[in-house]
Amino acid sequence: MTRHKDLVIGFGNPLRRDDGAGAAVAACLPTRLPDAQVLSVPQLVPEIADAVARAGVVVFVDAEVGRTPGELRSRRVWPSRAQSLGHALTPEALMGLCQALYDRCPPAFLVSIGADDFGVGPGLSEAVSAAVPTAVGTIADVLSASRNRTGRQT
Amino acid sequence: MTTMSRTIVIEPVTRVEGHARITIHLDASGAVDEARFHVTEFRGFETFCEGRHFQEMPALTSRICGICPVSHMIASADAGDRILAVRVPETAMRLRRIVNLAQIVQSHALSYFYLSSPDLVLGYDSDPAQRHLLGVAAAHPELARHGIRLRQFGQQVIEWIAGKRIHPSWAVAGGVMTALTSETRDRILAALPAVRDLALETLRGFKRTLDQRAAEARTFGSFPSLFLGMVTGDGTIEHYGGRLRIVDSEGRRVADQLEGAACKALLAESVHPWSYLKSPYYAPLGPVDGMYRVGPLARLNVAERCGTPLADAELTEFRQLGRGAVLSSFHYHYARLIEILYGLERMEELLADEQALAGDVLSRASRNQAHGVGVSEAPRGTLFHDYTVDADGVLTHVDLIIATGQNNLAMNRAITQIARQYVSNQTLTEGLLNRVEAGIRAFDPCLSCSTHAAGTMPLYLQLVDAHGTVLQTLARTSG
Repeated sequence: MTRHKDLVIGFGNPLRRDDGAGAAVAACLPTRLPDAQVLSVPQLVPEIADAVARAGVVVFVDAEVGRTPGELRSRRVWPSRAQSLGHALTPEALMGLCQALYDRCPPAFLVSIGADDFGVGPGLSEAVSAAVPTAVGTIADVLSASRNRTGRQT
Repeated sequence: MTTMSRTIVIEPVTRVEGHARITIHLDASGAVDEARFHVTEFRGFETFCEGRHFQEMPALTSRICGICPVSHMIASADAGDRILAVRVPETAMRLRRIVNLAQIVQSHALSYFYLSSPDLVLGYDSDPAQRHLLGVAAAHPELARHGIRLRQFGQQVIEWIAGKRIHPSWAVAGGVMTALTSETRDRILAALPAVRDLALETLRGFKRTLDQRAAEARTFGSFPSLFLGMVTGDGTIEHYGGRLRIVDSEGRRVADQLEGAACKALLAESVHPWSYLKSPYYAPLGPVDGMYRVGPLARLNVAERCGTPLADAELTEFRQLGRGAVLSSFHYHYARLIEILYGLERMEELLADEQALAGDVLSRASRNQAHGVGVSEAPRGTLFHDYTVDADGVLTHVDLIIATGQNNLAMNRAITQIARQYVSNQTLTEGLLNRVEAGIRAFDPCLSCSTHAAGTMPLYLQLVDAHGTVLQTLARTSG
């Protein structure tokens, strides 16, 4: 029986301040979740779909504008084929692409961190930086809960 | 006395890449007189790189483009080699070639599978809401999987050798920063046969599509022009480190074995007030007869052979499409697929030689020349980086001639021809919009040298009568 590794994808541009939240979280994960595969990418692109298809559970990590800086949320991501394709994919579109291409769509979640500083340059704002350790814990919780729900052994 | 502060606000800051507009101009009778492709954005690298040291340029200019950063990096390093006036180690030249070919593979896969296959396999008149890669994935998952795998492979090779998939800064004046390890070489060689099979299968599928679209393929942006591309000393196709050749529409050589500086000296640029994209042409023949095309179609037209068995077999078949040069811009797609196959075969040859693993990859020197012109064949065509430096190596002049610009006259010619064929009764349909777009898409333009909105290129299409009145406007956003 093959056990699929969990996959965590932190995405965003680390040179646009808080947009680098996903990358900052991804950088902390290998020590906390040594069994998970971790990707840090500037944006979601179709080439990621096959890694997604091979995953047990997928967690996307991103900064989200329009919310209190540092506020954490997590939600389920459902595949969508209805979206058009711009320069990058949304988590929903990537899961939809995965389903269409590989006929497999593992459970997926988005952990987002509220942010409002997307200026030019590296480094996170104080609020977002403070939220990074909590986000790591949230991801561990999301993976654990999903594992318990689904059994995840295929 | 009080002083008032003043703030200049630019609002909105529109997208910085991929913005284009097409206008179609009608004559007094309502027939299409001309179509124009307007590029409405401005990057400004030539100006703001002045004052930097030339050795910074490979890393700086790799930031011009997210799709073809390798070509900029290599053309820039090539210009730097000439300013250093050093002989670059053979292994470094070999590795630059391999990485440039990996980029050709990934970029061509993006163009064909992500951007153009929706038109080719779903149809120009198919539902625009589904006419993108996700739609292709739903209708033809195997084709989409091939495209994703080929693009992934090219990017992976770039990352393995040059350290990063996007914006690497590995090639430098004098060579490259790191040698190839045998482990990386073996990983690439192990993966190559499977992706080569995908390329062959895609070519077979494309040729079936071509059979169904034969009439369109013959006429879609088909016109005589010159073609410019790189070849080796014996006329084999080359993408880096070769000399430049220009042929006419009959396939006759107009100029041959030109170094970058000598070739660039034969080019002049015209400027149109309606576009930021300049229009280079072959100066001895002027802006009309000197119109030339670059890119995969041009490279196959200038070369006598590919020099690899599978690509040469495909080239022989491809040649039957033209008497002399193949003229239809539709066949950029075909040429792109042959180049993917060639790139994979040639990568294997270059890697199989033990010279690929030699440790001597960088020649060191300081500024020895005031001027250097570097050239690489980018996915979209010949790319020139022309630098002039002062005594300290600080850039005093930068001139970049990018492939998309060199195709500008031809792109305008292509959409004029397509519009004349399809526009009637002063009306536009979505299908027409898409055909005109497809005429541009065949060239795979890189408007800020990084413009790629899969499936739905942002486009603004106007129908204008003889008095300049806008009769109809269709706008498409990038989704």
